[in-house]
Amino acid sequence: MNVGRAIPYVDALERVDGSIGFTINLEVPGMLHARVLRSPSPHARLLKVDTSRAEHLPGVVAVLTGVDFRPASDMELLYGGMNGDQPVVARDKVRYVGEPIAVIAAETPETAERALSFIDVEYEDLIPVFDPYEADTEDSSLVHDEYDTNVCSYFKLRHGNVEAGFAEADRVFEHRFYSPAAQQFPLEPHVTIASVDASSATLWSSTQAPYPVRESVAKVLKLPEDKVRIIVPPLGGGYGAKNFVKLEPMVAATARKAGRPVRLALSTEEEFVTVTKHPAVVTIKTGVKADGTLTARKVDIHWSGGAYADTTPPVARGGGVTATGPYRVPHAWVDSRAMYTNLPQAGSFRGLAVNQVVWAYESQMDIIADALGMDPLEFRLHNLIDEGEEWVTGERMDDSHYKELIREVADKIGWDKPSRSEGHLKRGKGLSVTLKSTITPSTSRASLKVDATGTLWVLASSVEMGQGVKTVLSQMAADAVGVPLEQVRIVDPDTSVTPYDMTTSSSRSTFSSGGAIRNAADSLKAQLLELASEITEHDPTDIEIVDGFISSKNSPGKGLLIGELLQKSDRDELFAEGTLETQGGLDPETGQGKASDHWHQGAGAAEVEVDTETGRVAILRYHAASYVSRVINPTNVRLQNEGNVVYGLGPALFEEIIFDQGRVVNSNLDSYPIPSLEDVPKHLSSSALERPDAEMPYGVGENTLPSVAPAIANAVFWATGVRIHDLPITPEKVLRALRAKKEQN
Amino acid sequence: MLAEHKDEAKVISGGTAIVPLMQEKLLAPSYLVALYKVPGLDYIRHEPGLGLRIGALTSLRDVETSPLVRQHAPVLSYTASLIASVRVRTAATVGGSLAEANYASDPYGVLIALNAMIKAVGTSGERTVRMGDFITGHYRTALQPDEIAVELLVPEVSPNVSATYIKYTTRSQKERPAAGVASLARLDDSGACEELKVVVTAATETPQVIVEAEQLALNKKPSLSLIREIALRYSQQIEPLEDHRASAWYRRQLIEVLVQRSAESVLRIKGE
Repeated sequence: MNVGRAIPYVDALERVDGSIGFTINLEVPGMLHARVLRSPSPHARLLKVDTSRAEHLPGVVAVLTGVDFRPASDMELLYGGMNGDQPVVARDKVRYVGEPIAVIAAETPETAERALSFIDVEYEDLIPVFDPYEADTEDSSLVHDEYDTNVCSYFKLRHGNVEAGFAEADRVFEHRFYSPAAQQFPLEPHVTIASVDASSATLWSSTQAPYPVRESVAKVLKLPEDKVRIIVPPLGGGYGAKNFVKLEPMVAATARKAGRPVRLALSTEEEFVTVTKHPAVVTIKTGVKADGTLTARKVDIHWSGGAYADTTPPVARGGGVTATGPYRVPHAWVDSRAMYTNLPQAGSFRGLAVNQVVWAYESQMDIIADALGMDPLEFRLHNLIDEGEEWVTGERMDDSHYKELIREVADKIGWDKPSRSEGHLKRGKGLSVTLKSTITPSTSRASLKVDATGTLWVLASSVEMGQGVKTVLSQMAADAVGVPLEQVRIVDPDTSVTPYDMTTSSSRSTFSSGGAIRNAADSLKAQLLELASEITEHDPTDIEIVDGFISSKNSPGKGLLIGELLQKSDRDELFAEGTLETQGGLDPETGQGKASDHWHQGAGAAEVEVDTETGRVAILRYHAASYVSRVINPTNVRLQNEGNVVYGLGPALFEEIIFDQGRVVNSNLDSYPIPSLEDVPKHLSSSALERPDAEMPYGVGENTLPSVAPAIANAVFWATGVRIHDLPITPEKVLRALRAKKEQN
Repeated sequence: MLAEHKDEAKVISGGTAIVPLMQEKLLAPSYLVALYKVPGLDYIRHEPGLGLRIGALTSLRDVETSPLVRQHAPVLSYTASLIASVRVRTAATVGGSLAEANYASDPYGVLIALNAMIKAVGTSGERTVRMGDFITGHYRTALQPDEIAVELLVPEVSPNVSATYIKYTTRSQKERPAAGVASLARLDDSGACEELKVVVTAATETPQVIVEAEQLALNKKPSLSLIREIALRYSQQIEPLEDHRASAWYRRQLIEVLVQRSAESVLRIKGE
């Protein structure tokens, strides 16, 4: 058995010796280098884009602008992961600082860079809108003139009678919590190489979503989808930044115009204007009885989606549906409004949408517990849903383990033991719990092939981005068929070879692609047993496959290797397909229905020490727990559970993209630091909860991330009595709050 | 070359200062004068009675790990260990990091407290500049366009001196300081203060010393109230700047707390 074993990454050696083929290191013969001219204005009409001087520079091969997308041209301007609202390059107006206006392809990157300054652009500035509330007013300037509204996506949840719920309550609490924009920061930037001719296109791209990319590129190039091939080498990190479609349409269109392959790799500064975490304001009103029973929750969320939809609709939905938390809330009302704003597009960010709402509801849980004089752990346990309970969407929450998770982290942090404070160093502990949906409905397909060498080939389109998907899928495939791990080969995603998968996101690959592989394995095994039965004249039900060896159950040890079986039967290979489809969906008016095939469940507990003279928060100890149903690889699970914490420390404590009139002010590692190893808590640990009879693994890529910020904020509160509502929890904010509290007393 | 091209030319050694500036298009020199192959500027020597002599092309990592620096100026070795990351320290040179004069840097305060000097060589010859006069503004030094720094001289530190440096970051531990305080004190046998130096860095464009506050400690036995008074004067008399690491208000609070902690450490607890 390989499942359940802590085997090393199957690509560990390539990662260490540097031979792993990231897209950033890839070169295609004859390729040109692209650079992008970007808008300096957050909102302006384009009066003139004159590229003639740039085109005549030696070494410049092609310049792509909006003019190339005239109605009769061979390319289409608009695409978009969700709404089809995004132009390949700006044509009539620009909608954010950093929006591509022109792409130059040249023999060298330096030539392309220099040529940018030879493009003449005239702008007529329009009034920009940056704030999602302002964007949601009648007289706001419109980001997209043709829509008559700045609402990009609006999710509603209506359950019970929320006003009656507040009437039943003894106390009603209302608070507002803010999360700013943040950067996903994969160490490998976005990079795409495109080779395009009149009838077909091949792209190598650092994307988490090969099939959605294929769809968009086909649309832009006016080609049938089967003429577009997307090849995805392993990614140097994704974190959502590479979900759905990013550079690919722009690079493909430039390559078509140039008649030669074109490569574009973004600079760090360009990453900041390509995708960000959604800034969000969450206003949460909660009714509670004197004994601590929740009666109602009403939540308003305003997301700033930036200029284009990208993955904003699933953000509005995913954050909206979970905004009341994993609690028993008889009466719930959620308005989740995602607005177009004149900022770079916001998109998927690890812990998608849930980071922002958990920050709100878990911070407020502690505020209420304090006001009621209840222990925060007891208060949560009193309200957390149990296995099989009905939830605010009306769905039954089977397989719910929130109480176990919160007890686990409380136990591991020593919740019942008071923290010791000394002088100006105040210590405290904080808890938080998280629930997160996975995209539902969704589809993953996988194919398996064994050949006459006995090799088992796994064809799936889940993208390896450092999360170890190749390793866990290898383990699952090896066991499902019955071959040694060494005989398994995973094929990198390539839409001409590997079958459909919706996306590598939403913590879904182990579950979805793994499930599709298991279904394919059932079919492949049946074929093998059938073949073996013909050769050996045993009944198929008497034959088993163990460790790549096919034998009769009655005479173990005597039999054939899979390769030998194929050779004897004169077969070159056997092939099988499998699919995993999930079902569900929500009513658009009420948000009632089935939100998620299963739920991602996590919890966290922090112990902090606050320097009350400087406001600096040190994380002494952190324990994370997630429910994973079944562990495929304990090492990978631990890396995800703890990696989430390290990743979450940045937005919790200091990461924040600062805009000045729509322009990003801090767009490199010097001005926008991310957590370093020295920022990792000295005591960082995690647990993975399993169900003994569970067959299918659940995802673990995000479960423990959203709790990091509220667990820390709650610990700061119990240490000092000050409450931070706006992320990040900087020393300056904490010191200001401490001073304000001192003045009150 | 520097004399010929003046501001059109810039010096590069480790590249950790100038390359980011060029990437951000804050600098676009026509010529880069590379010093990496200039021989004889990568050394750390100790000359009894004179002090430590450190060549301008010595890496910060070498300063951090040098047994000579550890022995004769341990606070400098400690301060070097706090700068950026091992990778950056291995590439960055002493001369480059001094000549960069980025206000948000760690080593300037300690070097001023240690009375360090910089030897500069230009077309008109050689001269020595006191570290306290070297940094004249953000990205500005006393170096003339045709001069380069060739050596850092750290005078002998007497054995009854204690010195320390506090680096304070507001975001990642690995980033540049939002404020730094270097302190150095010498106490006589009776415990009275013979010398106190306190330098605040990274809070303003140039390192700050409030001499009148330092002198409060002279010939007195240090007390908590004395240290508080010194800290208060530093925070009142320095006009901090504001950037994305901290506001001016916050830096003022930090100066008071960090000066107090730093002075307490050198005046009451002998160490470093």
